[in-house]
Amino acid sequence: MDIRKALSTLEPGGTLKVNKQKVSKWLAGALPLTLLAGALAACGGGNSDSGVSPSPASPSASSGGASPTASASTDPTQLSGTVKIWDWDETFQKGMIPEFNKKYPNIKVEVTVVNPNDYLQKLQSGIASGSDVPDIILGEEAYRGKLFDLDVLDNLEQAPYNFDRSSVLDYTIPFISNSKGQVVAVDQAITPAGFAYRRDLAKQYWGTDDPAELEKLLSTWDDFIAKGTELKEKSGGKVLMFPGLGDAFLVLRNQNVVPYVNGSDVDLTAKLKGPIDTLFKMRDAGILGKNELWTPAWSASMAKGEFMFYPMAPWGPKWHISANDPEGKGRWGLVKAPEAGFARGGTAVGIYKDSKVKEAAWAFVNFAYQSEEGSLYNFKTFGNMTSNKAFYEKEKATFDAPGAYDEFFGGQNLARYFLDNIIPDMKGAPQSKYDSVVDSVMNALYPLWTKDTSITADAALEKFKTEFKNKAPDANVK
Amino acid sequence: MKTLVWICLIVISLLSLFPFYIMIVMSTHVTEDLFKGIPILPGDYLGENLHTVLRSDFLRVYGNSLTVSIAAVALAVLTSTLVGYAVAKFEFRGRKWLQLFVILTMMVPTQVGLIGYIIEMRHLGVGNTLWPVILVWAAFPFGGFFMIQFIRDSIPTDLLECARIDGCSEPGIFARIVLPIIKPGLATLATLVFLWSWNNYLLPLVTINKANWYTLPVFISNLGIVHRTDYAARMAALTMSTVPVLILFILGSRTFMKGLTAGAVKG
Repeated sequence: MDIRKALSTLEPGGTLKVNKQKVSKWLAGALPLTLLAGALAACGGGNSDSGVSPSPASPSASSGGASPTASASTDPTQLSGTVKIWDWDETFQKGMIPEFNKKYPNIKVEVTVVNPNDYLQKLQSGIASGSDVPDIILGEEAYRGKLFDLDVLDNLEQAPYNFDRSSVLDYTIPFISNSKGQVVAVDQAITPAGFAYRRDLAKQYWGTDDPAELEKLLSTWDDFIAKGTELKEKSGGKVLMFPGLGDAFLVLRNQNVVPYVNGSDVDLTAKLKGPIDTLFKMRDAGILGKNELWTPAWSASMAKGEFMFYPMAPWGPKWHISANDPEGKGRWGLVKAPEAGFARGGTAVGIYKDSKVKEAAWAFVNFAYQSEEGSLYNFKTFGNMTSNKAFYEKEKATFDAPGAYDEFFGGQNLARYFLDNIIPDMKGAPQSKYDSVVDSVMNALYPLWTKDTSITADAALEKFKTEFKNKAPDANVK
Repeated sequence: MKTLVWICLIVISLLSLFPFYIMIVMSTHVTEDLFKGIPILPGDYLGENLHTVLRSDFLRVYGNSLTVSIAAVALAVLTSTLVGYAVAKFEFRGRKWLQLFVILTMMVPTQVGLIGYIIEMRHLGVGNTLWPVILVWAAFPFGGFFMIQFIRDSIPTDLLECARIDGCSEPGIFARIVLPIIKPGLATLATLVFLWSWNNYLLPLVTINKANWYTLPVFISNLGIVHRTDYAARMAALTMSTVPVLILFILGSRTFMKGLTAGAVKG
């Protein structure tokens, strides 16, 4: 209708003299426009139709959200609603949701598979346009800090969640807190990391493949460099410590958990000077390979036995080591990194602050990632380890029993080693939106440092700061 | 001389076909083996890769992509042809302005209007369905521009005048005279729209939040992404999604070439 009105105003001076040719000219001009109007009208019709159809879900959903906490927490069958979750791991959800529904039969969990590389973009456009946003949001390591700074996740320590931060392993708290110190997520699984090492090479060159012995031999980074030099000499340069600078740097950076961001002040010197100095000492000692992370040569090196160590978290045995060295059963081991354990990877799970089904969403998050039933299923089926402290006390027997990849690692109890040797002295790193910038600058620079050995540690840090400023012009870099 | 031309042609054909061959061969290997070097000979893992792909609703996704692409072609070709015919062959007020507007909208990158478009679709009540991915082709500035140029160059105004003098109605002229002449243009536009909508990634990514309505590119990017990217399975899926486009191109190549080169040489 508007379009017709607009057309009539275009009519010149209200002349009534109409000839046939003129009509046809007008017609030609108006044809596409009326067609468009028709298309829009058709869509408008669709509006009223489809506006109704999704609503059956929402009243029940909001009733789920509004139901009183007391009755809900006592009787899981009282909670109802449809909870939407975006996850990349469909297999996990397909296994976990039926388990969840055994206890909460009236909550429907809908999974949409979203690639972690696209997650934030999809989420932001959803929020900006006011269209669909999931009730449960996942933050992968690469963008976790950015997600927390968007301020779209609810504070889980408040009602209706009443999450208690003392219930999870202490080191994980910084990984699930935003810059205001509020806990806004729970860990999907803990990701403490040590080094996967080649038992055969350790035995051959250092005379032992026992993790406890190796821990002693490699208690500081200076020891590590000394042992690396020894390894290089004994093997005639055929075996080195790490496949590349990328592996070494991710360990060093993640070990250094100093808070380096305060508002827009970014203290890169505090965060990176130590790691870069040690990294360059290793490079100059010639104990690092020249591979870049995740390249074909890097993957292939695991089976070839060119390098002693690969940083590894609990997801590593399956997806990393055994996938790239399928014949390597029995020749791998796990040892703590020099000086301290560090975190590698990890995904935080939070709840959208404008969700209409907060209670139902929390019921799922709590069940899948924190509760005893969920955590047990999670560990037994997928090997994921919860961050919930009490679980490890109650289920001690589970972790004393051999795990799925223990044989591959020469009969070493991997879960116990992570829990008893790596986690106790670990500290968590506060999350910030600048973490991903540090990551991308690092990925751009370390190949250069590998190639050009004339670059010194100080020059590298300065270059790092310059690149960082280019990518984050709003930050005051120190 | 002729042999030289043939050799050149064969070499160029091999060069352009090689990536397709590699894609097909890669889909028959285990992902980890892909990194040991470029595989030349087929492996024996095709069954497993197909299983990975088909296990997760591939056929429905395929159907979605076909629906979207066919609807997009119909919609884009219809509106573009009407716009093109009107602007190229009729004198009316605002004609120049309309043509300028078409060109201007061509210059606006899709990303800029994305959020606005999603909001519009949400208000129309068609968010989270296939409609946003289809309707975006209803106003397709390149199509409009292409048809304006094509019709202007390929249809002599005298011909339309003759038809008018002979008493043919305006819709009759369009259907019986204009459409048959611009067939190569229609085929070109249809092929391009099909290809672009088939490969469209960003729009379905941000507008569709239900796995049921995913289209092929989004589906493929979500295939095997946990801890380890299953490139071999992706290659299998890519092979299956590229083949129909290839067939379409081969079938339409004759008219397609004509359309692309039409107007390139002015007599």
